[in-house]
Amino acid sequence: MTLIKAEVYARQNDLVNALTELNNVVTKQPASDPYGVGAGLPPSVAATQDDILNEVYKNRCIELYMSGFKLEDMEKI
Amino acid sequence: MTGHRVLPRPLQPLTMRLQPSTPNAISGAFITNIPGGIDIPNALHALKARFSLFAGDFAQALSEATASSLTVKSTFNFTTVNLNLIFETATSTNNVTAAIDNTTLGLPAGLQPDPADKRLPFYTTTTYNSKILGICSCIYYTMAHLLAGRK
Repeated sequence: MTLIKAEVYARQNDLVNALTELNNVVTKQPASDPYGVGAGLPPSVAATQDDILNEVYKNRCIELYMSGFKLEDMEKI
Repeated sequence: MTGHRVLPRPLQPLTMRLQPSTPNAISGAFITNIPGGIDIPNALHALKARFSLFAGDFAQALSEATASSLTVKSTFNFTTVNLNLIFETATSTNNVTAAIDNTTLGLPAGLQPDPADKRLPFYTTTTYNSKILGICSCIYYTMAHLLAGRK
């Protein structure tokens, strides 16, 4: 849901909110997730709309691994 | 680009189900006949958010993503008899299908995860418990992602 929000904001060119939502995913610690899934990485510094959308795609590839969304996501590029 | 593929049909029943009068009206008979572990109203919001994004309806995707709680958990609960079949075929043995490389998830350069990414162990574990425990397996998640308030 957080990456959906990030993508929506990015596509609406609201880059501040897009980066905030993206970094909610990137910096999330496993302990703070009900499933124990969190990247725990430093925040992204993506600046342009394209950079943020690329980061969202990359994180969807990882976060939704083997979840069946890859085809839809690839079509959106 | 937007609206690359319009998916009106999945959205119709989701929207009907989420009418203000209906979320709490799921019948007990239905609940007792489906596997436990899934929060239905939250799952419907999550599904609607996903399909809205695919359909290019950004405003609806945003409102539904907000309506789906990230703290409510939905899982498919497997047992020693009913194993997590995707984990069985894709991850536990690595001899049917699997990622080319567990450190890259088979992704091309540029999309590959940071080696320090703490999500990797979750998705590539081969521990036996993953066959039956939704909680630590990678693949129970396949549908739970769809159903729960995941990313």
